[in-house]
Amino acid sequence: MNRQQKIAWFNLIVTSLSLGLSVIAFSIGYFVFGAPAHQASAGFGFIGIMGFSGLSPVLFRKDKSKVQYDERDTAIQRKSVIIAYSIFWVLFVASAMIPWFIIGPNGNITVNYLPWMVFGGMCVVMLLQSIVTLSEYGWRGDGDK
Amino acid sequence: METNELKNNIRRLRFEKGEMTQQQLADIAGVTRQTIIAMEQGKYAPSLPLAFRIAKAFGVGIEQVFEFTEKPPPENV
Repeated sequence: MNRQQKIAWFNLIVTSLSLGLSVIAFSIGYFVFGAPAHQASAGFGFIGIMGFSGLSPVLFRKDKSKVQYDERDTAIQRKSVIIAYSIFWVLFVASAMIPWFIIGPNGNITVNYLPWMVFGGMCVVMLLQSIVTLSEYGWRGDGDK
Repeated sequence: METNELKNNIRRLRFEKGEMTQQQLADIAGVTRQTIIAMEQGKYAPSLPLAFRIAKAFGVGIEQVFEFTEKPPPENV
């Protein structure tokens, strides 16, 4: 398993963990304790765990091998970025347009909606980029045989 | 798929070249061992410069390393 695969696994785990914990915390607050949605949404503070993904370049140092990055790695990285940002863009446009269609041009939404578009976008990009990277290399790191 | 049309003899040539290891070939060609493995398994089609570097590493022509099987063009309806 090379450095890119390790980083992708790390980001996938960190992002999934932060999303999972956020949803669990929100659900407990909303359904178990009956808190209003705007209070229960404090559970989404767990999204902050995603910040740990910034540690991946420090945690996974460069390999000692002569060549660390080649044209295949570049191609895989490019593909993962293109797929992740393409899907992000579609979802971003949908998140901007769907409320407009539902509540109409004169409706109002809370400004809290805007940062969630950003955090949601970050999650989508991180998850998709990791998944595409791992799928392109082979999930089990078959290339290391 | 496009990669299925490009076959290679890298594995055979490595053994004919005195049991050259994947790492040795990777170092000569300037790529990672994973890339050599992916090529041998037919999962990755190299760029033209890399294909030339691999052929040079074996001291043979590029057509002896890579074989391109052209698919017949789709018939006009």
